[in-house]
Amino acid sequence: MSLASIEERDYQLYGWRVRSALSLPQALAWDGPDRQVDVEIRLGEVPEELADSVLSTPFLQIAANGDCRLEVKAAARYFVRQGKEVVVQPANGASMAEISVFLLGSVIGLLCHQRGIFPLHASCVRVGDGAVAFCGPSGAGKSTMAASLVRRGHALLCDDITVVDPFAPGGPQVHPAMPRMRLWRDSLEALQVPIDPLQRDRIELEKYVLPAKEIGAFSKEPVPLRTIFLLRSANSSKLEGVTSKPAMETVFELMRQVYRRRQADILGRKAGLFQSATKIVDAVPVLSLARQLDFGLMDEVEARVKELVAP
Amino acid sequence: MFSISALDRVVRSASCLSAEVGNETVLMSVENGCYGGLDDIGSDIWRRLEKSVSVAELCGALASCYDASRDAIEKDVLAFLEALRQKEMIEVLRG
Repeated sequence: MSLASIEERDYQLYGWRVRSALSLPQALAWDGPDRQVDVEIRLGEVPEELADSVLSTPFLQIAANGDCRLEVKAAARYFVRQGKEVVVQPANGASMAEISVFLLGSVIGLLCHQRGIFPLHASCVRVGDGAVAFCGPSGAGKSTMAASLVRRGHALLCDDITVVDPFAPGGPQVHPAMPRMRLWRDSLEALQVPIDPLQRDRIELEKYVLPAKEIGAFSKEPVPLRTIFLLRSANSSKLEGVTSKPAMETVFELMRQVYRRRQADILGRKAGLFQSATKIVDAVPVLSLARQLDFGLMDEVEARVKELVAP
Repeated sequence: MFSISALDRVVRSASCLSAEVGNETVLMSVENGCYGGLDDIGSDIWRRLEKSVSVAELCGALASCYDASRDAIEKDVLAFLEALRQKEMIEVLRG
């Protein structure tokens, strides 16, 4: 990759204006007002070692001042500072696809925690005028649930990381991420989306990265959050039901669904996450949804979602 | 550790965060990671612990709001405060 060919462009991501020297074809170009840039991504040298680190692993170092250094041998080194600056040093021979997997995943998580906002490990869809988020551990079916709703005519907001603004006037709000999804091969087959070998993820080979338009629509506007589903897989072949829990359990369950929660704690976000989670639980129903990993029940799930999202 | 008496003063611990969610109060200690949830009566008591108060004063105030004997209130309040102290959510100052 030659530095001379780099041209900066502005993108929209989670409501931020992101100026990037690396091309981010998965994200939408910035078309908002000409305001200050929120996050700047540039190419450069990333230090070998952070001084004064409070966490030091081969993958991630976190300094006492909150600066983070991420290293993925096959992709790049990333230096993430103050929630607004990312320096990328690509590994020899790394492709943009490899570099962007971590830029649009782990790095986003670090930026969120440095900026003091609330990222859920969730995929999110606009249904009517409201947003519904699906949380759960990897493999619980977040993206699959979202994709099947998008396939049914609803619009994608976020895949894998959903940033919630709990303190937005009028209640918690979700800002759209980017019009792309990462889906398992099984899910694509079930959704009858043609499988294109070129879209195969370079890091997680059983996943495919594809533009949302191949599945359905994308919502460019922020939307009020109406419901959060906590997904867990179940053995039974029917929808086990949606249950409500006491506030305390729900708050702490939601805090467990924060993207890269351990890193948030190290970055001093415990109290902030608590304030955000309580605000969200006070305003938005959080429901637990046990499901088998198949598509047999999507009619029922969609009906429940529409009921809950209706104003 | 001494048991809490009516003469002691109690106050919310600075490391304990709280937020009202519906009619419950959710508590979290930033220091030790403990958390807890309070029902409406527990939430009422928690609101009264924002500034330090003696246990006797607290029980007196509650006796004028709830239909129960002073003895019954004191017994319940002491047990409640003891549970909060064990999670380091309040501080107890010897009276």
